[in-house]
Amino acid sequence: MSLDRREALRLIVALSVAACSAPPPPLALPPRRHAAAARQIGQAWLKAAGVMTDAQALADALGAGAPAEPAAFTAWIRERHQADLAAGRTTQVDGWLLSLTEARLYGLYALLP
Amino acid sequence: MIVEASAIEPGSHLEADVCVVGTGPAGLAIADRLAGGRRQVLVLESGGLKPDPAVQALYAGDNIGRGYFPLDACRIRGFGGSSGCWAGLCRPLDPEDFEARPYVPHSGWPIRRADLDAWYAEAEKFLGLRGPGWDLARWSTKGAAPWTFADARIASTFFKLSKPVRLAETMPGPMRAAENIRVVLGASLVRVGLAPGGGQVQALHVRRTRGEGGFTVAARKVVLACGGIENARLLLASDDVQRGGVGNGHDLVGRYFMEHPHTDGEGLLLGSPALPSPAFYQRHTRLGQPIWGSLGLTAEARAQEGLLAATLVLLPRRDAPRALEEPMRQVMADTDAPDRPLPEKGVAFTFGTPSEQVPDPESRVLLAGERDRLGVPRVRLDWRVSAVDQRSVARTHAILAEALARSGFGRVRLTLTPGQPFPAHTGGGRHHMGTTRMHADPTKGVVDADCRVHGLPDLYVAGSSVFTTSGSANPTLTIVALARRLAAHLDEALP
Ligand SMILES: Cc1cc2nc3c(=O)[nH]c(=O)nc-3n(C[C@H](O)[C@H](O)[C@H](O)COP(=O)(O)OP(=O)(O)OC[C@H]3O[C@@H](n4cnc5c(N)ncnc54)[C@H](O)[C@@H]3O)c2cc1C
Repeated sequence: MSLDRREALRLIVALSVAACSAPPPPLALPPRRHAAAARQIGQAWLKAAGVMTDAQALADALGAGAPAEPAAFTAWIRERHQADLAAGRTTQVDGWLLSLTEARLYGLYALLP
Repeated sequence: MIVEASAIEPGSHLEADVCVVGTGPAGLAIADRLAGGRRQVLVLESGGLKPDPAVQALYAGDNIGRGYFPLDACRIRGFGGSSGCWAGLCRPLDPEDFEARPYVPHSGWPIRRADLDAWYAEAEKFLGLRGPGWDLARWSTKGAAPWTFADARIASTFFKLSKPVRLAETMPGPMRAAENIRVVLGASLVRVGLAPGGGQVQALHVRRTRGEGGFTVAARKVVLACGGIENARLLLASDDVQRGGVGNGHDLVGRYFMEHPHTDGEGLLLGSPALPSPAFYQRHTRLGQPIWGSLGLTAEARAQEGLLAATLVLLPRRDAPRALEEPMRQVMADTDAPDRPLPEKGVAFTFGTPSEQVPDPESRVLLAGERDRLGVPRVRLDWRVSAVDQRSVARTHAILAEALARSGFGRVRLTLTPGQPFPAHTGGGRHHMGTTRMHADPTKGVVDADCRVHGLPDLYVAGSSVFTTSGSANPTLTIVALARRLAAHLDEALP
């Protein structure tokens, strides 16, 4: 997933507001190499899993403390993805087994413009 | 020497030190080991050197349980037995397959894997296999290496592929040449006759398979090696002295029938650009020996989750791509290999998964009321699979899916769900196991650790009917290893 620095920062703002009491700024997601595909998987997951359709709640669930630097952000996501798989935190979309982290990320792509 | 039953005077009585009934891999592995030795060995074979539909028809029977192959189409009745059609996949059972596992009822052989190691080596030679043992490192090359997972639960292993050896082609020569061996073709065992009181075998009652008449055999040691269904059938049918059949004092003969349910074509692995070469998991040749890599769970992972053994091979996918497949390929490439270009075409495999079953006394071989042309009651097979068997395969697929995703190798579309029955097309592998199971305790098994029928000093069983549990490896290498071990035991046991 390649994010440029400014876009990654916007996502990170979204991910870190959970702990703040101030109203959150609008969520935005960076384009990614295959953003349309992420959106498609995300839509299918949200529909099948019947889970949170609130982007903020999804962003919260993804976790706080994302690093600002894009490559580090990608690594941060991958680390969570792998930790999910190690702990059995998985979900399915049309039978495809995904980590919760990746499913939530795709869910965000589906929900945000 | 090889003779036809028609050459034996009807009503005659033959004697031998050892009588082996059946010339499949089990029976011939024994005869071959005793060949040239000091024992007079009589080998009885129902069929001839060539397939014969009339003989094959003696195997017909009913399936009254889970859908299964017609019983006369999943084994061969003739010299060489089912080696005439087997596929040649060979792998020993794993050490833990022999252990008593608290989560597998009725598990635990009275022997350990180490007791078979030397016999496996002999069995490999008998089946025409080559190369240094089973140490994975020796079979790995740069171009065809097992995958290294970021998940300690997954282990790679491999099959050695026999040519496959057809014993009807390779064994007549040695059997003719051996002076101490007499093979009688067209000779069908119809009853194991016990002496009054049932303490030992008095005579084997044999009929000419074609034509009329028959003869009897007395031997100091008798080995039934007629295959995993027929061994039980013959013992059950021999009920004139012991009610319920020979060796059946505890109503165990025929029970615990196991197969390897083959959930082939289930699951779909979509490789990421970071998936290493699958060459090891495709049929290839190393050190002059064709091999085929496979995947499975480590013993620890199985124990931790209470799972049965399962072997996963990669098979080419046959169905058309699914709706979400292309987007899935793209998103996983972004996560697993963001710096690599996305290949134009995806790599996809489905899984073949032969798996273990929990031994179940209700899964069984029974006798039907109807008799075959030789007067032996026909067989009925009530094959059962359990919810544990099904859950175990589904969970194994899910663990592999987790491991593949965690290692960045790809994503798996799961098609088996724990709690759901196996798909209707999940059949067996034509592996017939467990019907004369081995156990040290006569109330829990038909044969003891030496493959001797409990309570009878002179009757032995060879073949996969003695398997206490099945593991997930194809059975024939273990059948032959046990047979070689039994042959050595017989030689020692006779004065
Ligand atoms: C299509 C197919 C593919 C297979 N592929 C594999 C594989 O890849 N790997 C693997 O490990 N296994 C495989 N198997 C299973 C393998 O063939 C058996 O495990 C093996 O043949 C069993 O050996 P056996 O000697 O115990 O019994 P059998 O091979 O069944 O031999 C039994 C013998 O007893 C004789 N007999 C039967 N009844 C009587 C009687 N009343 N009197 C006298 N003789 C009798 C028969 O004629 C036969 O010679 C396959 C089987 C089939 C059918």
